[in-house]
Formats: sequence, structure tokens, C-alpha cells
Amino acid sequence: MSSSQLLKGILEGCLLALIAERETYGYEMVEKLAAYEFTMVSEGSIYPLLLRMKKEGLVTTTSKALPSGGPKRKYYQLTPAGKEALNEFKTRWSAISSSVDNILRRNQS
Amino acid sequence: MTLSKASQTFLDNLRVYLFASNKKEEEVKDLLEELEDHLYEAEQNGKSIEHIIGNSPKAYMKEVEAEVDKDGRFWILYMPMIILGAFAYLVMDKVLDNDRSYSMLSLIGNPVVFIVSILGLFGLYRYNAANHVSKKIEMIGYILFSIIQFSLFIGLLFADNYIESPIFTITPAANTAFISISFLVFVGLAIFSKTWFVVVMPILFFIPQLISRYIQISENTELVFLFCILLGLAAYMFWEAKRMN
Repeated sequence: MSSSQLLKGILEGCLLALIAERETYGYEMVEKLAAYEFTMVSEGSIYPLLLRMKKEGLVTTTSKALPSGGPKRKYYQLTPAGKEALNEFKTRWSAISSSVDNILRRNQS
Repeated sequence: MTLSKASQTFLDNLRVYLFASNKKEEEVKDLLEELEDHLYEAEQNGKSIEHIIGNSPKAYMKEVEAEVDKDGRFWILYMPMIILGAFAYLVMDKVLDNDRSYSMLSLIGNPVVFIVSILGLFGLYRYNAANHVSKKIEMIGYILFSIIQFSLFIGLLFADNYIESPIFTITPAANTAFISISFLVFVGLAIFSKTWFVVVMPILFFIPQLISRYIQISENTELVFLFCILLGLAAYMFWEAKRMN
């Protein structure tokens, strides 16, 4: 697994978590990621990922017209399968992060 | 709502790239709209395009390409049409020579050359869209492509003279029917594809042949003719690439 693939798996988990909070759209997700200092990937790389998540049935989308006019904006919602995937990610992540932390801490001392 | 030139160019290139990669039109449209919305908001906030798509447009295009579904219609719908078109050209070519016999080699070779040409052209469109190619290099690419394509057709004609393969000769009545069908195929393809490609190609190929049949011309003039056809073809492909945006 290359480092970018690893990062994408993590990004997917984070996107699921953000969408779980409330329905949201691409640019808003990127702003939230940036607020949490998750800036390791370029902004545009969320879109191919969101497309895949939609195909896997983790999210659904609805298009809403903007008050200012112009093209419609696509909002994402979590499906039950998406919620399940988020829970799995949380479990996996806490296991991985605590074990990696432990190893690195022992390595330092 | 207006985007910067860099962003608009990128979106245009991405569209051509995905189109030439034979991706589902609906998915492509959806994704491009979403990206356009994002780029617009990002620009309002003073972000550069590199911030959105990373430093390599090509890498980003490949990333997107991996997730968008292929359009199965290409093989089911377009391929038979390409083969039909190839036969129509063959019929026209034979008509000009007053010839009613078809060799196995030309019947198989013609569609093969057509398919190779179209896949090659798609490859060229993809390359130009994903890489920073100057106008000059782009034009040279189309000219080279035209030369190769033309050589394939000429090569096939030569091969047909030297290699023996089973010959099918049709009756004059069948010939008339073939000509009518070919004509309908040209018109149908032009209307369906909404491009002049299928009309421009036979004009470029057959008009010089017609002229040379009625007027005695020297070999030098023929070479000039050939060069004009190639330039015409290259210019047309260049124009078509721009039009797709």
C-alpha cells in the first residue's frame, strides 16, 4: 500500500465523519478539513473519492439550487451503510493510532 | 459566475480527457459541475488552481479517470457504427474506380484501420489534454497523425494489390444498393455524431481522386494534392478538438 492510498483511506473516514455531522457539500468539507489542519491532500482529491463512496452506497447526494443562481450545488448525506463504515473506521483507527503511538513512544525513550 | 482562464482551461482539458477516455457522459458532467462550483468558491477566497488539483494536472486527471465508469456504449453502439462507416468509405472508393469486386483483405483491413485511427486520435486528444502542449506541438502531432493514418490507408491499398485474398464480386444492382446505403450511412452518422467528421473525411479523400480522373495531372501535382489533404485533415482535427470544449 502506497502512502497516498493509506492517506486516502484516512481521508475517506474523515469525510464520512464530516457528512455524519450534517449534510454538506464539497467546498464546505474542504474548509472543515482545513480547520482541523488536515491539509495533506489537494482539495480536489475529495471528488474522485466522494464519487467512489457514492458508488459504494456509503453516501447519497441531492442537488439544490443556490440562492445566488448559477449551477446547482451537490449535498452529501450518509446512508446506513455509510454509518456502519464510519463506525468500522473509528474502531480501526483507534486501534491503529494507539498501537502506532505506543511503538513510537517506546522508540523515543 | 466567471472562472479564471487557468481554471476554465483545466476544466475544458479534463472534459476532453474524460471524453477521449470513453467515460460515462452523465458522471463526467456531474463531476465537472461540482469541480466548477469548488473552483469558483476557491477563487473567491484567493486560492490558486494548484491548491485545488495539486501540482500535476495530469496526475489529478488520472485520479479522476480511475473513479469514473467507462461508457459501455462505445463497444456496443459506436463500434458497429465505425465498422459501418468503414464499409461505406470502401464502397465509395470502389465506385470511383468503377470496381465491383471486394477482396477479403480490404473488407477486414478497412474497418481495422478505421478503429486503429479512432483509438489513436482519442489517445492524441488525451495526451494533449493532460500535458502542457504548445499550439505548435499540438499541430505537429495532428500532422504526424494524419501522415500515419494516410499511410495506413495507402498501405492497405498496396497490400491489396500484392497479397491475394478471396474476392467477392457483386452484381450492378447490388452495387447500386450499396451506394445508396453508403450515402445513407454518411448522412446518418453525420446527424448522429453531430460532427462534420464523416463528411469532411470523404471530401478530403475522394475529391482529389475525382479531379485526377478527369484532368491529367503530373506526379508532382499529385504530391501537392496529397500534402494539401494531410494539412486539411490535421487542421480539421485541430478544429474538432477545440470545438469539443
